[in-house]
Amino acid sequence: MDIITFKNFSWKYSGYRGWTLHDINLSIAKGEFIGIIGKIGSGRTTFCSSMLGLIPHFYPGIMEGEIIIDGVNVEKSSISKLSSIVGLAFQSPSNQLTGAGTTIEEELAFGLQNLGVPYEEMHKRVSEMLKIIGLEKFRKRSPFELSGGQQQKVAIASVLIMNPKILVLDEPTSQLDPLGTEQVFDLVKKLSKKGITIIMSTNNIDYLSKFADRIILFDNEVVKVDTPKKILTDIELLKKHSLTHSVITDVSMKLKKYGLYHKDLIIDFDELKNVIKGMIK
Amino acid sequence: MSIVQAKDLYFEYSKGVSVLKNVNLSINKGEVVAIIGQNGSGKTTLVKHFNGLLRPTKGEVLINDEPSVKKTVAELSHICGYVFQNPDDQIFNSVVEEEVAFGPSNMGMKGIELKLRVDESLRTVGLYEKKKKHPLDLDLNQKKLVAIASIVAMNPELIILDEPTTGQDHAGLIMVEALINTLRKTHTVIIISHDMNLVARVSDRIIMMCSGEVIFDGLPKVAFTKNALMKKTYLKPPIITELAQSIKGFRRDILTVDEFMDELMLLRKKRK
Amino acid sequence: MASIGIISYIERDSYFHKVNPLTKLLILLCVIFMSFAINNFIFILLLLVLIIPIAIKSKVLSMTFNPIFKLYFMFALLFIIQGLFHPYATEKLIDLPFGFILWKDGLLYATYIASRIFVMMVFGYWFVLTTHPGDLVSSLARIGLPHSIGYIILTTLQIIPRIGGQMKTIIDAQRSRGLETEGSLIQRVKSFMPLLGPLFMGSVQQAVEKSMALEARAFSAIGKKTSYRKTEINFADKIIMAGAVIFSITWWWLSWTL
Repeated sequence: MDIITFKNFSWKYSGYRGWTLHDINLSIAKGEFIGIIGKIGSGRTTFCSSMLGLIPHFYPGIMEGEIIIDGVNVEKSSISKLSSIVGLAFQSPSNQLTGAGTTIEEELAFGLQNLGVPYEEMHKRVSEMLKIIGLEKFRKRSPFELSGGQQQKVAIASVLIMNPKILVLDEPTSQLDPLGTEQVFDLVKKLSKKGITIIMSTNNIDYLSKFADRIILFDNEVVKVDTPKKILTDIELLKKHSLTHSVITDVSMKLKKYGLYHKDLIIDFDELKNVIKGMIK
Repeated sequence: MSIVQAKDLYFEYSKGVSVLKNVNLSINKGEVVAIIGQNGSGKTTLVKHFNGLLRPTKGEVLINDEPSVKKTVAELSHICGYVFQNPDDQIFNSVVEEEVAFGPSNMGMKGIELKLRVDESLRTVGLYEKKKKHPLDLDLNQKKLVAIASIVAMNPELIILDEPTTGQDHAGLIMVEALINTLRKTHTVIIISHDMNLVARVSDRIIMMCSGEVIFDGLPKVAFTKNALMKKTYLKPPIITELAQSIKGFRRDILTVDEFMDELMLLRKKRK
Repeated sequence: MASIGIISYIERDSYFHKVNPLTKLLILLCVIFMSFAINNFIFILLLLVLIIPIAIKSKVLSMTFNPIFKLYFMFALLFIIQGLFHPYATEKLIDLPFGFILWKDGLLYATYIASRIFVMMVFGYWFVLTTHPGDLVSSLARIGLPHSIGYIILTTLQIIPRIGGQMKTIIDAQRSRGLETEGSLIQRVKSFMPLLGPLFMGSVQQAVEKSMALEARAFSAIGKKTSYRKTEINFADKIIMAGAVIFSITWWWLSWTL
């Protein structure tokens, strides 16, 4: 069951010369974990924003083609309507905090207040969400006092609390330290297991190789859509689009070069570990 | 010959809240030092003492053997250049070359001398072709290079790069690494970073911080074998090191893929 | 916590903390009305007698008066300037050296102004200390304040303290490039330009990202909004409100007749 469909979608920002995204055709099934990779300027953020309807409703520009999210036509609908289907979180941990609440629980509740969710239901969801992100003890603290990783979890939880079917994360960990990154990635893994459709744009290909069902490589158009293994081992393709393969893949390449290994290139840490172990037994 | 020295350095923002405790270190000319540690461990607080943005609460900081407190920030910036993490916090001119000229012109440079200095810095970071562009037309990678060029143009002996690769893509990372390797020939470099792979490749020395204290100061090879210390400050070694450490028989201090392959060949030979 | 400069809401378990924000707002407005409408400064100062039991019942007595004492310099200046230079002064009090004269009307005028400011500030501080900004906004929303304006109030209170921090980062970044921020007035003015650009751009950037975050939380959704915190107007509130209005009018009338 496809929950997201892009048909010949193109977008040009007002005042820019070229098309940021050109002729995108994609289908994403319910429950999939999709990884988005591409260099800076390849259109990843535009792609992520379009699923919430920020493109075309927030940014001025020209749109062609259509985007259907859970049966709703993005161009004909509104951001408010889409926000109950799609939760969008982006890079900057602190800029996503609305400041509408002086405490974390109020920040989480903000979206529900806007949707007119009843008092009891609101409080129930806030308590549940605090548990899911592991910040129950911080309930009454100001969101601005938290670390980057915790703020990012609050930002994600603040959209998740609206029960969207799809969670879109635009480089959620690029400004975080290793601990923060781990906290966010663990949360995303947990959510993916619950069946939420996840779309995540990131440079962390090691994480994607472990958890993504498919990866989309962008370079102002869809260059390739395939399994992590197929894309992350296509060395020439990655290079052509200013990306690189992981250290794990690099090692497997060298093993091949030395004639020690003859199977497919590897992207998984544990798989490589076992192959090497076998070589020195 | 030391360029920066910290002696029994303590720093508190407000009474009782120690952000730096008992820091003792010495950075020598020509070194490339990486300072690593969790956010909040005191890395930025420490380097801000090197150009005088912060002054010690207790203890002292010596720059070229003179106490930092004797000079103003502007004076210290001629010796210690600090490139801030977010280029948007400093870029205010509408032309790249004017932006880069800001620092040296504050030092009193003008005319031909200034122009030559600006051109030279832009060439060093690889942005010479973009010198007439508007900074807003640049992407993040290039903006970071502009920020670095604007400090290089002041020709300080020490250049501090605060998280130069955060938020960058692969192309950006390559540019920054190449730049560090160029700068190390003529400058002392301190880099604060979360990218352990980069740190392993470029640094001569690693300073590991946790809760305001220096918990390790030594060779990268050794740093990444101190797993207990790394865990304390929520760090993981570079992925190749992690791989080597997870396989019995491998040396624990491997830093690069080439070293890994060499070790593998050695172990296979031994097996025979 | 949300704050306005040096004072902000303090969580306390007091009677007045539980009173509806609109009630407290009405009390404040009545005090402001009385300050301007009453011309007898003794009547104005007597209002301070009222605030003391109120502040005690709100458990914020010392905090209400504390900041005012820090402003004694401003009040002293007011008295000095009015005492010496009040226009059209006629009643001399004493002669001072160097030809200065201390005027009685000047001092009287200063007393009127000071008492007005003093009383409004004290009640104002009490209001801020006992009223949770979120409660205030949702109560105002109940009587018709558009929720976008309510949000602006809330977020401004939270963002202002943060702008200071941002400014500091920008200043530090430019100082690290040799910008001199201390020294002569001309130097200080010259140093302003490199600070404005990044601050402006940074603020614009932040505003854009925040707008997107708001959209992601259905900020533009049409329909009734609910509130996470419960506020209601009960019988006690109505009595206090009525009492405040009646008292204000009576007090004002008394000040005219006595």
